[in-house]
Order: sequence, then C-alpha cells, then structure tokens
Amino acid sequence: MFGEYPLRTQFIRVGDVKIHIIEETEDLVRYRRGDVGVLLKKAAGRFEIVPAPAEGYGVKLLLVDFEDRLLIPPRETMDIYLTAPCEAEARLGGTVIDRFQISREKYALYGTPEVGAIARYWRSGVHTTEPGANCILKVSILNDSRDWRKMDHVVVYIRESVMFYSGDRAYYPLVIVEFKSDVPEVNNTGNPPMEGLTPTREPLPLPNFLMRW
Amino acid sequence: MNRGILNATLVSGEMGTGPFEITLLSLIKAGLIIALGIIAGRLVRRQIIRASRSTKYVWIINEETASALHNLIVFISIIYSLDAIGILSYELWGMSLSNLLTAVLIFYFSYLLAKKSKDYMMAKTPQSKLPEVQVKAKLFYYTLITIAFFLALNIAGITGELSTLLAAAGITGIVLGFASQTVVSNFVSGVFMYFDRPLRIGDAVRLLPTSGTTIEGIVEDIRILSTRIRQWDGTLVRIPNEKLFNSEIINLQRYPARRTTLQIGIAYSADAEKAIRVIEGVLDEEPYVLAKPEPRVFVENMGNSAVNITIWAWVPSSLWIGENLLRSKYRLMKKIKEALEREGIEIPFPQRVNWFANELRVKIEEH
Repeated sequence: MFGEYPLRTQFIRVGDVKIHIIEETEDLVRYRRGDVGVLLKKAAGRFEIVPAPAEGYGVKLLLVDFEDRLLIPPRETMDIYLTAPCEAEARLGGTVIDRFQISREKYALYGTPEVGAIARYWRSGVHTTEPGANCILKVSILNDSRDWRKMDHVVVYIRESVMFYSGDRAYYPLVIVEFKSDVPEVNNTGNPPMEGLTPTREPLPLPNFLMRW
Repeated sequence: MNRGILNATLVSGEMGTGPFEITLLSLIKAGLIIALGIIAGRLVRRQIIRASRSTKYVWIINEETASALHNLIVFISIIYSLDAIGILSYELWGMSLSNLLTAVLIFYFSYLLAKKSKDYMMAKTPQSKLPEVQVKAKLFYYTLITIAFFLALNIAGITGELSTLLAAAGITGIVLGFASQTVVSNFVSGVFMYFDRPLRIGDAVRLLPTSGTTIEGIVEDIRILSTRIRQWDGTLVRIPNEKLFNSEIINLQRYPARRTTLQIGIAYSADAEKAIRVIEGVLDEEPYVLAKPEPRVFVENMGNSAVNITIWAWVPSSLWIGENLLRSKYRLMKKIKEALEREGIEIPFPQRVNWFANELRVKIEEH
C-alpha cells in the first residue's frame, strides 16, 4: 500500500482508493485516481505513495475521542494505542501530485465557539497493543502530578507532521501527554513510535500543545 | 562687454521685490554644482541598484529608493546653484523662493518617508497580523502627510495668506464646509471604526445597510474615507465609512464555528421519527457538519402543507460562505433530499383543499 512504485502500467490500492498508472508512451505515464488525472514524464525521481497527517481542508489539530475513559494514578505512566484518521500523498521526485482521504472525514469544534478551533475528529477504542487499523497513534501518558487524572480524549498538533509507515500501515509520531498540573501538555515528538518504520520526511519541530479543554 | 570683468552684469533689473545681479562666475559656479549633483546622484542610484540585486533587504534597497535619493541629490544641488546665483532671495507672490523650495523639499521627502515607513511596517508583519498593521500603517501615513503638508505651508509662509483668503471668502468657506460635511463624517466614522473594530481586512461579512440592499463578501481594504468589499460574484463595492458605521454588520467568520439552521418539510402522512433518523444519518456522514457540538434535528411546527423539520448543525465558519457553500450547504441539502426520497419520505409541495359551501353544478354545452 505505502512505499515506492515503478512507473509502469499497474493498479495500486490504498485503503478503499484505487489508483491506476498507465504507460501512454515510452516516456509518458498517466496517473489516474477517480476524476484526478496527471500526466507524468518518466525521469530519475522516485514515485511513491506515503501517508500524510489528516489535515483535511486545512486544520492543525487532531482530536481523538476515547470510547473508554482512562484513569491514571499519580506518578505513573501508561502507553496506549489509538486508531486515527490518515490521508495519503502520491509524490514524484518529492513533489506532491495528489493527496486524498483514506479514512472517514469528520471535524469537530475543539474548545468553545468563541476561542476554539476546528479539529479533525476521530473516535477510537483504547488499546494496550497495536490494533489492526490503517493508521495508528501511540500515546504515552505521564502523570507527574500528585492526583489521579482522567482522560477521555487527546488533541495533537499535526500540521506538517512527519508520518511513518511500514507496508500497509501508517503511524503518527509518538505523542507524549504529560500531566504536570490540571492542564495536560501534549508533545508530538516527531519520533517513530517503534523501530523499523520509514519516515515520510525530515521531522520538523512542532509546538507543544496545552490541552485546555 | 569685457569678458575679463567677471562681475559683468548679464541680467539686471527689478524682479520681485528687490534688484539682483547674475554674474558669469556665479553662473559657472551654479552650472558646476548642478553637474556635480547630477553625477553624484547617478553614482548613488547606480550603486543602490547594484546592491539591490544581492541584498535581502530589498524592501528598502531597491530602484524606488535609488530614484528617490537621486532626486534628492539633484534637488539639493539645484537649490545650492540657485543660491550661488543669488536667486533664492527673490520673492514670488510674497514668499521667498528659498522658503518655497524648502517647503516643497520637506513635503516631498516627508511623503517618501511616510510611504517607505508604511511599506516597511507591512512588509515586516506576518500574514496573520497584516490586516491590523495595515490600518495602523495607513493612519501613520496620512498623519505624517498631513503634518508635513501644514509644516510646508507654514515654512512657505502661506498660512497667513490662506486664512486671510478664507476669511475674506466667507461664503466660499460656508459652501466648502457644507460640501466637506460628508467627507469629514466619513473620515470620523473611519477613525471610530478603527477603534471599534467591527471588521478587519480579510473578514467575511454581511452588511445590512439602512438602504436595504444586503452586501456580502470579503473586506478587501479599510481606507480613511471608505471600505471596499469584494462580493462573492467578484464585484468590488465601495462603501462610505459613515454608511458602514451605521449599518448592521454580521461577521461571518469571527468565530471558528457557527450554527446553521435548515428547514425541511415532510408530508403529514410521513413518519416524522423516521425522517429525523434519516436526516441524522446524513448529518453524521457529512464531513463538514461538526461532530461536536452535535447537530440537532426536531419537528419545529406544522406548516400549511408540511410538517416542518428543523436542523441545527454546527459547521466550520470558513466553509459556510461564498462558493464554499457548494461543497457544504448545498451538497448537504441534496444529500438530505436523496436520503428522504430513498426512504420513501415525501417532501410535499404547497397544496390547498377548497370546500364549496353549496353543491357545484356543471353545465355542459354541446356544439
């Protein structure tokens, strides 16, 4: 599903999305996905299909609601796996030629109508091992405070975030949620959640995010 | 004329209020100063243009600055050359030429300074803060220009004459006062709007002016006398600030999300509960209807021809305006109609049942 493909006539399936690569002439190839068509000239550049963060129409945040609420004891850590929405990019020689949804597209208001922000929305079960899904988000929760902490959702800054992939599965970078006070701080580390994954780009430093709501 | 005598009089006589003389020596001196000024000006211009090709401070080191400095040097050299031939003491309409030239110089370069500062303020501002800084930069620009204008008038010595002229022409003053009433009113409204901030450049707004015509679009520019709005159909509307200040302004994008209200009528014979479930299903599928706050669907009233179901759905404000409505609101309406039709729920058209008090008699004529 994700990875590098040779520029020759073939059919690629990414989730439920079908992509056709058709060799028109010796040095021209047509990329087609539904109504999207791009004529490509064969060159030395790599053609690849990689995961991309679920920015949708241009949002910065991903809000994942938990199906079960979490309770974290004081001075404890907890690692959980969530499913998450993802997008995919078709790139030739590093240039994006197409970007599309491979997960359900839904948004939510994070915060209040006055000072909130629109976030990509997803609802996920809380897993202690990696679930079988297209896109995975690993969250490490650190409760540095002296109180028990409840958690029923996580909000992650995802704009221009690096992604990782392995075969047909995409991964967001490891996210660390730290409770120092009542407001947890969310850090999209940019690091792979496990060994042996391929990054989609050089990770950029992303701002830490205070989850006020 | 003896060429050996350098102070030979070329021109002499009464000009303005006093006599003066132009000698050959002073003329040569003046010519040399101008020539030097032109050469120096061109050298400076060339150097700046050359530097502009490699600098990253292109907002200040550019061709415009090069021309401005060139003009400044040439202008100053002209003043010195006029001084060399003694013309600066000459009076024109009761004002000394030196004062007049100084006034022009001050106004011209204040204008350049104001323009450059305005450009600099806007160039150095990140895109997110640009609308606010744009207004401040313009206020600064107009203030500096106004101060420079009155300063130049003062230096030229026109102020006294101007007030005498205005006092003498009292009727003209009154007429001018009435004529400028709208301009002043627009200006004051513009200043009030700056502090009140009902809208900013880039905002999507709907205006309900007192004249009754609704204007909707993106605020392109807020000027000192008027505001420009680009409507969704691509036309630009210029609204005097006074009119805008008195209008009801609906800011469509001030908050990230807004609640939209849609109404669907279903037939009296249809199952309202089922219709609500079908509509909720469509809202759940639709990406641009926010999952939080949750949409609400309910029967609002019994209409003349239909049971009216109302939908309250929260949507991203930026997607519920202009052409974006095609992929949000109108697509949603179409999907709701299709879903209701698929489920066999009738959307009725207005119907009227007429009852006749007396029995109707029909007369058939045969030809």
